[in-house]
Amino acid sequence: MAGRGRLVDLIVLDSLDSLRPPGFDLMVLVIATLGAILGSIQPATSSYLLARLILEPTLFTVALYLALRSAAGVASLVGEGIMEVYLSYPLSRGGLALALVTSRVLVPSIILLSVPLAVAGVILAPVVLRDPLGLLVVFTGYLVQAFFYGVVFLGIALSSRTSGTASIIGITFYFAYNIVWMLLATLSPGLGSGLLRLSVAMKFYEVLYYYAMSLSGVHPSIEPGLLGFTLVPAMTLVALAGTIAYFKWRFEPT
Amino acid sequence: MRLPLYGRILVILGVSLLLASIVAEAYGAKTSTSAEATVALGTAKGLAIYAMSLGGEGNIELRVSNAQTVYYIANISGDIGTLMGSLRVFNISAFNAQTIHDVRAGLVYGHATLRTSRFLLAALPGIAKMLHFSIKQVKVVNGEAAVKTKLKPGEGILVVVIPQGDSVTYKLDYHVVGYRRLGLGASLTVSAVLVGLGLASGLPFRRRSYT
Repeated sequence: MAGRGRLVDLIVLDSLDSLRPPGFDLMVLVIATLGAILGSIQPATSSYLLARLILEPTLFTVALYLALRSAAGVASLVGEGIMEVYLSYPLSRGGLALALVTSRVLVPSIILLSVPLAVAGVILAPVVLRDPLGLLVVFTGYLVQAFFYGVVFLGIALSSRTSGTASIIGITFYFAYNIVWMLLATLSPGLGSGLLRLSVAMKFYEVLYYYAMSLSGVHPSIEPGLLGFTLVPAMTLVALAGTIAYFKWRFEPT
Repeated sequence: MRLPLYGRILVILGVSLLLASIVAEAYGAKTSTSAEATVALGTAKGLAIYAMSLGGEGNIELRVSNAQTVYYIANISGDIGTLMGSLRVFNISAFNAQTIHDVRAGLVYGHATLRTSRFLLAALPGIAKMLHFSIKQVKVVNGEAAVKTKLKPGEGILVVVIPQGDSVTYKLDYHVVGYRRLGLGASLTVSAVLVGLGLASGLPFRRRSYT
């Protein structure tokens, strides 16, 4: 119990650093306002459509935030010697890695994705209350995708140790991932539906969007299949296990 | 005044809601749109009128005047441009397309003239069957016909008109179904409550509890 309390203390302490004002506040204010405006200028008649309208552009900003502030911030913790203080806590290294994943990836992703949705949800309350499940399903898709990017960025930051290098490699990974997705989606008409399925599977939110669509009785144009539901979650688990294992056995704080 | 994280989030929620509600009131989504156009066909043998929902759901009605024969394909999911392109295989080409993106009504609509022979246009039901589309013919009375259908999110309709003369007039009416927004007054009230709660979280009596 005491160990769990210390874990929560560390998550709160590190969250206060990763979510510090004014940069974070300004970012949330801008994406929440613009996201809600985007959601209200078009007549989204289903909550899953509303969620997609808002979260599609927001995910890009979340990925940049996770790469530039959250993950690169970990590299700064190492450079400034704060990581040594963290490691002196009576917590296992695995526990500390989990705390960093929570405070640097999970908490910022939840706040950045949910605030614009909450603002639009109030304005379009009659639409959202009719089908809250669709909104939650699509939100989960974007959250899992953001979490995947964030865990990869964190792993890169821990192994690269300088914030500049961590940012550059993180953004390069994000760019490459999205270009590969775009190539698969573009080439799929000529090379077969397998590539199209793979490109959809690379974006977990697309898969859950189609799922939310089918829950509402609208037949989606693509059936994502088992690959769609498993690819990103599996890659996330591998990235998470790799990051924790690296932190536990290979990471040197000095 | 230093606010805790949840207080900062509440203030941000309130301010965002205030700004977004004002913009939504002034430039927010419309629940209906209509358009009317008279298209001179020149040497073209037919007119294609198309409409596609951008994301919402609604009822569409297309009234056509000066028509001899009217066909339509409803519930097209996917790109209407691709469908028109596939007609090219059968020597039916679309020209002079004029497309309007009415984002606030969530509808893309427009028309294009069709250059082909009247014989091929008359054979359209058979051609559509080969493309796995179900095409329907509309009853024309005194040169006028009307097509009514429901558009689900992302669905479209394509109407093909073989004219009586050298021009066709059409009128489009679209009504969004199932869209409602909270009124500005209610949004501003929620916004004020959120900002108030957020600011209250930073008041000194809250801080005393930490000591």
